[in-house]
Amino acid sequence: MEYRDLGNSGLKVSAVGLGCMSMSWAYGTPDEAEGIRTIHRALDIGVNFLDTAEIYGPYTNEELVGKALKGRRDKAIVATKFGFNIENGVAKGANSHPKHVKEVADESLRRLGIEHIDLFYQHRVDPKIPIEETVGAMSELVEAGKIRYLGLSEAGPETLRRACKEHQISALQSEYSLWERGLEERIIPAARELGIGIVAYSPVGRGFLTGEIKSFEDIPEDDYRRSDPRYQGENFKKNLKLVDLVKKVASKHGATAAQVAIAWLLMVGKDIVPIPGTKRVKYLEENSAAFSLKLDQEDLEALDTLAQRTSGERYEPRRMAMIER
Amino acid sequence: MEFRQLGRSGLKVPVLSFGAATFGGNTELFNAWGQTDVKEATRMVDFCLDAGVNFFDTADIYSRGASEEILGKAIQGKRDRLLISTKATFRMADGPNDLGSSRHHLIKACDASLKRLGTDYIDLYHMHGFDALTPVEEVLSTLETLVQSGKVRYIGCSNFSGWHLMKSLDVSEKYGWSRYVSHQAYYSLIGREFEWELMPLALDQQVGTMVWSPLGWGRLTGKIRRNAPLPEVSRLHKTADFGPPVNNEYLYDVVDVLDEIANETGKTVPQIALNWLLQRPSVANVVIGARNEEQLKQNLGAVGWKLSEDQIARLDAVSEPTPAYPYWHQRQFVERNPLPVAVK
Repeated sequence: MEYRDLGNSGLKVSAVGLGCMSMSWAYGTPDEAEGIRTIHRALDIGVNFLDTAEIYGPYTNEELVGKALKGRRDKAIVATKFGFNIENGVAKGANSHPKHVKEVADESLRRLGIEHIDLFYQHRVDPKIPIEETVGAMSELVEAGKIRYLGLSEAGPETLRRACKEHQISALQSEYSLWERGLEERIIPAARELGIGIVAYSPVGRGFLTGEIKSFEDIPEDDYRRSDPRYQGENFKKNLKLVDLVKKVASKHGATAAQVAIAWLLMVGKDIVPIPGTKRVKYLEENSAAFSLKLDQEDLEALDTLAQRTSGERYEPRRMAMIER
Repeated sequence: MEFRQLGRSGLKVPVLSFGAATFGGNTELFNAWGQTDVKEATRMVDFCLDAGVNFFDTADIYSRGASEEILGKAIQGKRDRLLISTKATFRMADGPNDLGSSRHHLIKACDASLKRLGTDYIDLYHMHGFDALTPVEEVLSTLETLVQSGKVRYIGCSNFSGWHLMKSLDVSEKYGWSRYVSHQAYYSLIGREFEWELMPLALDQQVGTMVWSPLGWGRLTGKIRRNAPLPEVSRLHKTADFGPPVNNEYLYDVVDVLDEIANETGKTVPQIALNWLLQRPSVANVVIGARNEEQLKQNLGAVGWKLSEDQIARLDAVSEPTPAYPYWHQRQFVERNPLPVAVK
């Protein structure tokens, strides 16, 4: 495995991380046992960067990661996130009030069964709370030894700048992939200037870019992706053509489409760490092998125009409103 | 025992400290360095304390923790009578984060050192080498947290370049964090590069110098001289590659003068070499090693007397190295760049 610096920090994380969300939530039917096996396998092969969040489940995904970490804590870099009010198991708006940040940290530590969180993210910017106050609370958690490094998610350049004046931000986790490149114009330049690493979530388009999902009906009834505009109606059909292009590049290298999507991100910059999610050992192995796939100039040119042709927004309007650009 | 202020800190340290690198001896380098078990280590510690040497230097890397563990056992019940210096930064295990001065590694390394040493605080915590991949702000904010939490009393650095140290001091100053009070560096009669950049910096910034390997990686023991082959027990057989390179002719010339002065003073070669160091500007402390009580007694004989000015001048002259750029150039303008020590 190759390791990359998380932003300008002294922390090294595997070039390909592991998103744990789907082990408990959102996509398909959770399978805790297979999820734990997947985490164990990840740590065994040097994939040390595990991603979870309070809201995944809610709570149950952190508990699952906690179970998997028993006796293996030292091998893992554990990232989790705070930032929502949770009522009856559902997110009800952002909450990054300093008091809430500290409460969630304690609860996450308890659920994860660990003594410190390696990377603690604000999950979404809270427009009601100045970022300085939130980051101030996070820096107090660093001083208290409860967290090591700070991250933000889907934050825009102004928020990043203000945050870094309060405490170094080591990672920005935002959606970034072959079909979603909204970060590139303003956010990545700002992150580079500030020494913030990019953690790319949904690097395989929530599974779409694997080419394994052939129709809307393939997606289970209660699967989150049914609400993703890119998966709906005409968008789905149009976007399937994009996948054909990825598959074409993949077949040239004897790789999978998912590997091409991940390898492309790895080649965009040394400061980018994709965290493909999966609950299966098989896909973990497939995804993490992408770091040895090298795309050539012809591939990069072929893939470069893909994002311009993506049909549909990345979120429905209510969720989209929480994204800063 | 003479005590000196350690840099710009309130701490007084004895001019000699005991280097516990010889404790443990379970890696190739440290095996050759000396194997001292707990019983022998306890005798050495007691002997040091009786002689006023209440300062013990170790590092996590020395025999991968065994040196700290043995020192920890040897000081049981005596913690309040002594000072401990230890170090972090070098690789301790195989993982991508098992080294360096990142917040991730330092907090872990400090807790591990405390555990091995069987104590709840470290008097002086050194960064064993510079970590250029971790921002200086991350290193020093983490050290500040360790100081605030009471795990560490003072911080120091080791084997830094001038700019590494100056940049670090500047960051401490900027944020009001603890600053390095000591620089543990290699300096000896046959290794005087320290004088070019690091000594003027130490004086300007009041950072105390702790000298490691004061006998030039075991070359100034008095057993190595012109026409005398390396003694069979010398650790140099196994460790020369880890230490500073020294030209043999240069070494023999220096030892010739040391021999002359030994005749004049009745002191031994190592005692003279240590005494010379103790009279150099910025030096607060010299770390001495010993594989047994006899070697320790010998080294303790380096204090309590002084080389004459003439003797120092002769040693200076014979050991003077050719300066690298820009130091040779600056010597053309000493009027505004006074040197901390005399040169030819």
